[in-house]
Amino acid sequence: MIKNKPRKDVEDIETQQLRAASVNRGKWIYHIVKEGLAAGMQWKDVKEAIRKAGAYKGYHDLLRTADLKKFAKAFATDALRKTNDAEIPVLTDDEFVWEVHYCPLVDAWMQYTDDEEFIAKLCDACMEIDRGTMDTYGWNLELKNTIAGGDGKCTICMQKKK
Amino acid sequence: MIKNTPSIDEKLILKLREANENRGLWYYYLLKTAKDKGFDIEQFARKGVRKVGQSRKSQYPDTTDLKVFVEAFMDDINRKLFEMELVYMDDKEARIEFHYCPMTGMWTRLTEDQKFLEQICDIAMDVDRGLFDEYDCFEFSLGKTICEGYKTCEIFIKKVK
Repeated sequence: MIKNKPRKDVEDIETQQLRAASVNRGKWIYHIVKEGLAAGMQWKDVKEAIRKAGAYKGYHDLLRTADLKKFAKAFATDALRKTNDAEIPVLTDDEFVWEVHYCPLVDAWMQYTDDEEFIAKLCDACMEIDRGTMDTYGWNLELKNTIAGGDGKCTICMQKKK
Repeated sequence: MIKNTPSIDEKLILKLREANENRGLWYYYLLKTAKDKGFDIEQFARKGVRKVGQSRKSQYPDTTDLKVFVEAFMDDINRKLFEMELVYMDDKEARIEFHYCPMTGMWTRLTEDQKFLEQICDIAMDVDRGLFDEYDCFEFSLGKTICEGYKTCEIFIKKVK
């Protein structure tokens, strides 16, 4: 059973607007991917597309650095923290853990379907965005919990390769 | 040559612009990758985007009054995000111009392929066509667009019933 309610900033107007913008993105992703799959696209094609978007973010939007702590600071903008009701429980030289308590994409998808298996697959495909970003730094991404998988939070571990 | 420069620099609008440019990033790669692999984006992406638009009806007033609809369509956030200008409105028709498109803002960073830009712009506009599918009383049409190289996107809304 998916639990996906933000704990913080529920009444904050700016956060509401930012969440609504991301929910909207989720709606576009849902219908384009669903129709793409119906037209014969495979999940690997969807993942390839999103991974490319992630690589773009790595090269163009985020700080180019070999320092994971500096990267974390640039990644975890105030807007992203608020949108995703997120926090950083671990930050060392080798590991940056980003914990998300609300996912606007899952929120959008649950407005269209209660097929949790499909939502979990779509979530995994969408996580290619961060995997694609990590590729550009040569770092790993490990997903320890996911909201779409019913864990109540996403625990996204970004790690330097040993 | 596409000209698409925003002029509003309010803090919230800057953040929302970035969020909408991000939507443009995902959209671009989903369509570009599909097209490169031989899938017909005219067929499936139009269908998908139109469904998004149809699903947005619940966010708009259930009205036959054009002015009431336009007020919602041009709410404070949308007006600033797309730098919308109400050029003309009476009881029967409205003409709105968008002076900035955040999706195009992203796409032009990703490609110079004018033909593809125009194609993905027109497919994206199916979101509005989809919304108007849900209104028997209004008709939507698109005029010139920023992606075609014009200064603004022209939106025409007519009351037909």
